[in-house]
Amino acid sequence: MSGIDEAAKGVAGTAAGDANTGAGAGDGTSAAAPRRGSDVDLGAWRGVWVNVELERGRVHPVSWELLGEGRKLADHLGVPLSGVVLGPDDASTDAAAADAIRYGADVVHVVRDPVLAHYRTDPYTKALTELVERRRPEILLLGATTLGRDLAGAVATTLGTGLTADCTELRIDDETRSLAATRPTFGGTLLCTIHTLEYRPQMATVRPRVMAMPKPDDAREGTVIDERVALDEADVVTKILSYIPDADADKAQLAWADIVVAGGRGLGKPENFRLVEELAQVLGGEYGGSRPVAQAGWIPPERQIGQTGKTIRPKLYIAAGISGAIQHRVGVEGSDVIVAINNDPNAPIMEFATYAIVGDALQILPALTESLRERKARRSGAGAHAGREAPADA
Amino acid sequence: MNRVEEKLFENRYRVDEGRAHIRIKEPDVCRDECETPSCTWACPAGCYSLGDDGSVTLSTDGCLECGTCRLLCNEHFNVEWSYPRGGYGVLYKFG
Amino acid sequence: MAERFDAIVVGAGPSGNTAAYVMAKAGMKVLQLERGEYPGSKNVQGAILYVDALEAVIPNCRKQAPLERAIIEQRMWLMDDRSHVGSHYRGATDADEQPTRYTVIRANLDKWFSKKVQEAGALLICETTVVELLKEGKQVVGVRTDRANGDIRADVVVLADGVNSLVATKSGLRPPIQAKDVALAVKEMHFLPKATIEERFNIPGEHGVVIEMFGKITKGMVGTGFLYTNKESVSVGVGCMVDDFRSARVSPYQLLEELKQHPSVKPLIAGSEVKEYSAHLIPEGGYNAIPPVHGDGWVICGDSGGFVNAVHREGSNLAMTTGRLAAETIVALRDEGKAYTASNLKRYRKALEKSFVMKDLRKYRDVPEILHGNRQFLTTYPELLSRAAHTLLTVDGVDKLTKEKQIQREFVQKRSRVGLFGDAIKLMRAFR
Repeated sequence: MSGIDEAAKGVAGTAAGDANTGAGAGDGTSAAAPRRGSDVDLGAWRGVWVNVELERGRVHPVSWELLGEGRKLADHLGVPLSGVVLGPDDASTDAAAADAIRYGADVVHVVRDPVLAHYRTDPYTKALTELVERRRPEILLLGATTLGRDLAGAVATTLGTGLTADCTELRIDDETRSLAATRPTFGGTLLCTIHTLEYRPQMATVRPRVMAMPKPDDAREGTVIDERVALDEADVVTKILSYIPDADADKAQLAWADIVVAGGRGLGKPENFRLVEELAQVLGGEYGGSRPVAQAGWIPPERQIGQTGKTIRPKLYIAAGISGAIQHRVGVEGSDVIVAINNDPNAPIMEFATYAIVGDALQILPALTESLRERKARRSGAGAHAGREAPADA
Repeated sequence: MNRVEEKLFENRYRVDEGRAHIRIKEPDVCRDECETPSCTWACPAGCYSLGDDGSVTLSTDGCLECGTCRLLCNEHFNVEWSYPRGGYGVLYKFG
Repeated sequence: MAERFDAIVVGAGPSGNTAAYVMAKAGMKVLQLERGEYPGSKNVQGAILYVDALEAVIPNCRKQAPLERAIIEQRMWLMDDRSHVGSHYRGATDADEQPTRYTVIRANLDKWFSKKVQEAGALLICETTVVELLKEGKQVVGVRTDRANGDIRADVVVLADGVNSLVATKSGLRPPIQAKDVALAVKEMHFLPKATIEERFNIPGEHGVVIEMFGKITKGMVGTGFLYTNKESVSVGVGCMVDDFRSARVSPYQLLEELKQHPSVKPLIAGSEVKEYSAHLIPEGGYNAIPPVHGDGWVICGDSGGFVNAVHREGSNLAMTTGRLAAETIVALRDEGKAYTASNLKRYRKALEKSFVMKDLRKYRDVPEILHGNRQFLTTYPELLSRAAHTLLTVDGVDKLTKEKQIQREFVQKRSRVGLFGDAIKLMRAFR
């Protein structure tokens, strides 16, 4: 939250802006002067682009998921799939470009510049918008990460084009050759499909773990194009003073776990959460919890699953003592199999779970854990006796 | 739409992560001394829940910032209540 | 903040907006601070606007303000479990005189009003919560906000920060509000197609209906239910005294659900899409619960001062009127070159007493007490009246005299003759 003086200046700035455009008073955004749709030569825009989010030497996996999805779109349209890497002039940028090809890109446009060493809205927006205007892709996809959301919004408003955020599905509409971007609305009760018909590029963001991760192909070949964009450090108002990583050592890898066991208020007491942890451990998965228990401090905040917590897409999700109110449901719907354990047969989760067990979680969880432990012990016991063969799955 | 969480889901919130604007001062007082945990039924957003042992847990998600809980706790004055930081909390589209 | 202001207004609701508008229009340098993302984001109301109070500051506001429907019909329902007895007033749709009441959507109205306030020259900063007042001795000299370097100085502070009145309480200017003096209301916005609303309620064009409900829908608690028609939505809600929720052990959202299921209400909202659920406290203590409203360097207006006439469900017009009177007092003192001391600001209190604000509040000062101690008005009577109506209106071969005697017997059985007489007196006294 900025200081009071900055807030006052911000307001004064908006007021001046409003006097000119007369539009959207008080919302603090300065809209680009809208182009007329008829000015855009749709045919001149070709290609599907995916933003490869490189930050601190690591590419966010959502970029690969988007390349996987982008591949389908590009094939349908008969156009090339490209990745865009913006980063420092070093090996991590090269590696990101090479990985992009392995994950499906035909071409990778790379901007290497020390100004892009760490993400800042201004230089990244400048670089990406210049590339887009130079190369004219018809579709531009970004991951809906903190960085991606910031960049997507800035790029879309600079280019004066349409952006559909948090899509759950992307298709091509053959009639118009446009991107059909589907996203939930009205609290997830309705899905709406949005087309940007008259402006280019058509932009969309997708949350991590919504699209499937493609398999990388080491043998794939592609072209890396070095792009030059004039960037001057002196022009960038924001300076990065230091990087302070999250102090918490309890790093959850919930979003990527194949098996997740979660507990809710139905467990009664924070002490009972160990039953959830134990089951997760035996299954080799991660543990998490619903929002109320995260808020009550039973679990650390990064283990919260649901609306403002993590979206998970595990193969197996076990929910114990969770009612499954809609905010939680939104975060777990992508699971392959949902097992709900609750002593209330009318809890919402019982309706959308694959298997619903009506019973006391405090008894069922340890029983499950115990029987799985025995099974594992027997298997590895048998394995030890029979020779070297370890069972394919635990 | 009969559960209170379903009602709250339609609302727009800007959550101030890690900064709950309402706090139970001494949880032991709720559990051991309070005979009428009216907060657990009177809060319009269902933020307060009663545990089996009489303890009360507070989750400020969905708080509609009405002030009822603060007023009800007038025997033990165990609720530390303030508005969220400016710009955070519930943001009514219609009011 | 290094900048100084002539006046700081805390809150951008109807009361704060009116005060800021009047002072800004008079050329004062006004800063308005709102804790929500935008004016209206933290406000909840039924909502009915009494245009008169707004016209007093913005003439011809009917043409520009975002009004929903002009109220042409008022229904008052006394509800039994599954039926109701009611009264109904319907005006003429082609009447010459302009309507005085409109339904509004609070957030829309606040946003619009705020634009006018800013056009008048006030500086509005949102997303900023005032946490306490800055004082030098007893004199209020500014406010402290929750932003960095968030102390701001001004010659006078207008507190329009809503029913909880936290700032004044924290700064020791008034006692904290009490559970017995407020009601908790919950409300849902139900969206329906315009044509459906017009057909269901028989309100062509821009006209609207207001339904006020009492009786068993509040399960013995002192409170009311309401249903207001907006252009494309219907506001449905119910509110009861906070103390009553405590003693009755009823949840407000449960009460609302049951109200929505009542056979008189359910068909009216069938097929709707609910887009918001809100809750707010409403001052109900009346005259006796009004705190000190002025002091050295400060004034209180709107809900923050408890200015609500619960009997007539008038809150926003009192908010705007008290905001205006406060601002006019301040402007007058500025014109006369006088300081904003407690004794000079006393004019504000005097202006309130002379206006309908205090006159009406004084008139109904005993009502809260009476309703609290006489729940039969909200439980027994609705039931009796409903059954009386049912008996009379059922044509089943029983002669009318027998029916009347039966009704009389039921009334006497439930309330006794002394009780009935006493009730009549109480009603007369309360509403004289």
